[in-house]
Amino acid sequence: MSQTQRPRTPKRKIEAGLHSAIIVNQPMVRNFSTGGGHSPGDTLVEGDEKIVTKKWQGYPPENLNVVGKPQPPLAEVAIPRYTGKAEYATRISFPNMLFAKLLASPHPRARVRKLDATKAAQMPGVAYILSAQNAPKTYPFPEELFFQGSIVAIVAAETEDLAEDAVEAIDVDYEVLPFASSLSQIMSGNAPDLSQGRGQRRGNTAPSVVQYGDVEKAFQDADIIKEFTYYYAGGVVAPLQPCGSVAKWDGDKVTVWGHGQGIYPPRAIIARGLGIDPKNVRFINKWNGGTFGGVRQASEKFYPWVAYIAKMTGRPVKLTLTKDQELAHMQVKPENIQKFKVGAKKDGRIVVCQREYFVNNGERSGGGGGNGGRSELYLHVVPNWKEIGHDYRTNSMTIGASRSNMQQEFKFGWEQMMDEMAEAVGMDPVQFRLLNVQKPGTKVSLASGGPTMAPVPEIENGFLTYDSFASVEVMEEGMKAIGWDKRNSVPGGNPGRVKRGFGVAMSQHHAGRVGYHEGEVGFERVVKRGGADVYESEIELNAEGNIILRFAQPDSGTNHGTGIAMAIAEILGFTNLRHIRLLWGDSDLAPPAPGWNSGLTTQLQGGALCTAADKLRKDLLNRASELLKVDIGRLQIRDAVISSKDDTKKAVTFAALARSNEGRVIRQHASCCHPGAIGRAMNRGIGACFVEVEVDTWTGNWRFIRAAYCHDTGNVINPLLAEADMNGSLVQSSQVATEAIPWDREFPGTRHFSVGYLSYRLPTIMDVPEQTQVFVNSLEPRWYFGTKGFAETAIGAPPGAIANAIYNACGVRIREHPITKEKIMAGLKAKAGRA
Amino acid sequence: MMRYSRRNFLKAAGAGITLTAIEGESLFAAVAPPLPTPITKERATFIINGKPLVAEYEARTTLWEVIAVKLGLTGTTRSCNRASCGACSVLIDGTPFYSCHTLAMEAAGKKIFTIEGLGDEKNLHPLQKVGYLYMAADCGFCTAGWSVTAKALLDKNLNPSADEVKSALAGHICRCAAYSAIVRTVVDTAAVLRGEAEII
Ligand code: FES
Ligand code: FES
Repeated sequence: MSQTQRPRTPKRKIEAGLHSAIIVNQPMVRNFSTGGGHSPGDTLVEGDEKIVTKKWQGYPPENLNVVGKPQPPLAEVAIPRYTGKAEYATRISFPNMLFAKLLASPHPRARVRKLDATKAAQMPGVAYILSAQNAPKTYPFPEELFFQGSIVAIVAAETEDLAEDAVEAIDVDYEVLPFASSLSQIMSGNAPDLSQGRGQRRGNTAPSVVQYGDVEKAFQDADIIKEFTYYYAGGVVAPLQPCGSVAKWDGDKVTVWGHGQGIYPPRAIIARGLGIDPKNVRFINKWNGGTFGGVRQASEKFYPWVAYIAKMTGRPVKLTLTKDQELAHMQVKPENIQKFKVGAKKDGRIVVCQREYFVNNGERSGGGGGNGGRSELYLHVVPNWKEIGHDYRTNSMTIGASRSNMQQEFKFGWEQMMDEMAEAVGMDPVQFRLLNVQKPGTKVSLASGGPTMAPVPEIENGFLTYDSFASVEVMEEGMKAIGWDKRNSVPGGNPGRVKRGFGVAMSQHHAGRVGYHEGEVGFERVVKRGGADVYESEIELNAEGNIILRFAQPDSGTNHGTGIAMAIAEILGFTNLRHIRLLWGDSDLAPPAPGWNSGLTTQLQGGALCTAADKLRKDLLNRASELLKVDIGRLQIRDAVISSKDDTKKAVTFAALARSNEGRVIRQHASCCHPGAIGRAMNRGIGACFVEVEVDTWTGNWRFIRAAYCHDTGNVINPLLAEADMNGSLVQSSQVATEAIPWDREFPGTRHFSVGYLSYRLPTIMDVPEQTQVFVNSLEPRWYFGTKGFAETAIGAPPGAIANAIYNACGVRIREHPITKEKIMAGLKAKAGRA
Repeated sequence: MMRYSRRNFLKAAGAGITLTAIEGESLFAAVAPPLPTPITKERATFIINGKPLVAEYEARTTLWEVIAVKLGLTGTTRSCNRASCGACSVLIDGTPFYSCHTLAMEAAGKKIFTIEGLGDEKNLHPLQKVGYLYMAADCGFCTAGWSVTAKALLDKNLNPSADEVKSALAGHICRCAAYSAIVRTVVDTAAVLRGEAEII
């Protein structure tokens, strides 16, 4: 724009800031029985083994300069996304690179009788064909092709088109085996035995029963008993970046560029797969075009083969899966049926719940459904519970984390059940949930806590107690934000063709974890016990006064590096991020750590870095104290200068301290561990989703108008990033309500579509509702600055909230996923017929 | 069963077959040329972001492959490879095209605009600066695509409404769903370009 233009009105300022997020601050000290946190003057003594934690972790959420201030992500991570330079594996390119393509099994279950690649090998541009015949012994191809899309061969050629030509020219004689891909197929009387001695009886499932309390008696005592059945059809994440990798050898060292949520776990897979020392594998994965939990294995399982072909051809090799191949190999949300029998008192208290579930576990047998996700349901106050689980092994995709784990897939039914029960007892759905949800102070035993609860030292007399937990606030704030009073008192009661309605759902997630960091008693204990997930990290002050953070975790748009950098800046007395640099996503540069998931990154990887920063801070203060001859207690740190509080002329810069050290750097290393299956406290994330929808009762079309998405967040480190992340979470999780796994209509449950996003409708810019994020800042006393993980606290709620809102709008209950306009129409017709 | 694929589509298109939208699959199956495909090499100049660049490619090669693989301009990402997500968009003579489903030969000699032409880290376009401040990219995989389409919109309309931005960008999927930030970014970038707003 030319400089000579001078508008008369002052220019509007464009700056980073929150769009429509609401932050609800909670006081630092709260009454235990009402709001979580701590009673005034409390010393927190945790558990039978008396691990004593100070009231506030050494860095309380007070007098903060950086943490809590909205700001864009670090430029070094974010700007490359806008300039086309973020280094996704798909962008890695070498002049003499070969392109690999997959031959995938078209059958849900088969064996290769004969494979003839002679013709294909002679095709133009073909460099290498890998199949079961010549795959490395250390990493063979699967013998039985257990689901459609299973790998049969990989061709590497000069171009993708040439590779695909050759893939088509491979002659395969398949022995097609009896299969069962869907729940209805595997549950039918004539399903084949797929258990293959994997500890499951014939029938492909071994029912598991969990029970506590006296269920039979409780049903006798209940005033109201209701039964409900819900079906969820499965779902996939569909990140934009195609799954794939690039491998390149340099002598006996291989570098692999991958796509996933960790550095060291895939590096170990590659080393094992090739039978080489992990030291000879460099794994790089800095940026991802989305991973959403589901990608990992769709890229990961191919790494050793891609590296092997690169070795055999002596050239770099790039593999890119097509969208339908990706669909076969990514983790999916499992198809399932849930049956509930619920007993309540007249006043609305649920006294007993029986839940029977049937889960399509795909090729992974048993347990993959996390036993139906019970510990993710939130009725820890219900005294009597029985659960009968059926996990089926089937000829379909692997299930697992897929934009959260065990959330939407089970809460689609669970949250509708809560609504239907509320109606049965004549209560508002919010009040009904508030009556039945656990609150700070609720005690949970190992037996009632569910399978993701493990013994941790904080257990006191057999119980863990909820404390920093905002179950009441997320509901109350959400009601305000959406205008809950506008809800129809009679479902479908609004006059006219187009009817509006409101719905709510809650969600609890194990993501609100807090681990142990080095220096805590729990850390030593968990690490000594062995097998713990330990996140290592390194922090370095260099001669230019820059702070360099080294950590493993790849960035999938998560921007966790920025959140971590902000906490580090705060610890080291900076008021901005100008001096913080990141070295991440490269096994040659970052210390070992497991991968990231479910809101763990900022907590555990970040906790390790915060602990290293704490060490560095102490180290620097010691050095400055010696140099300046000032007592540590009289020193202050601000923006890379340590000075005496009494005489600010007595000062030394960080850079000077680094320069005076041997090697001109000062380094600290620290670790943090995962405490076990859940966090060390019952501070698991809780969230809620309130939605407003509009249903056209003439067509069944519905529109998602507005949402208030509420999260129990702890102290939010960077509200700008949190808002952006949660906007995405809401849209993605809502879509789970309306899309199932895209099976081919001709071969339902057997073949999935190959046309990518044409057969799996992803939300576009036209579909996005008006959204308000509500962050309830329930401070976590055990962790740096009162923070905790919250990425997935509310994520399970949207599909159930939408189903409930559609019911509120037009009186039609969709118990069978996915929600479609045809089902809404059928419901409306049935209703009209009844009337 | 002949499956839909870009290669088959392009093979058929290259063989001069008229495609009908309905029952297209059976048509392909009936007339797709037998393997191996004859490979015809072509050579042409592409004017990419103002620079003439020469590439050699097969008749069936897509514009995406020429730009991102043959010419090494890797900024343009490809996601679905099925003309359904918009990630691979580039401008040809100012109009957005899905480069994964445009044959390179169709664009030979024409003016092509890619993300590299918008701005680099030393010289960011206002669209990139405002996008950065507003979090218009989470993972960034869709960003190159919608950015060039937004540039085409702003070249024609310096004062688009939110609805106009939405309809211009409706062919772009952002799986991270940064949509509301993307709309605000394009609307406010226009204000910057009009001189009514400034970036802090
Ligand atoms: S990659 Fe071209 S439209 Fe999706
Ligand atoms: S930012 Fe990830 S797909 Fe758009």
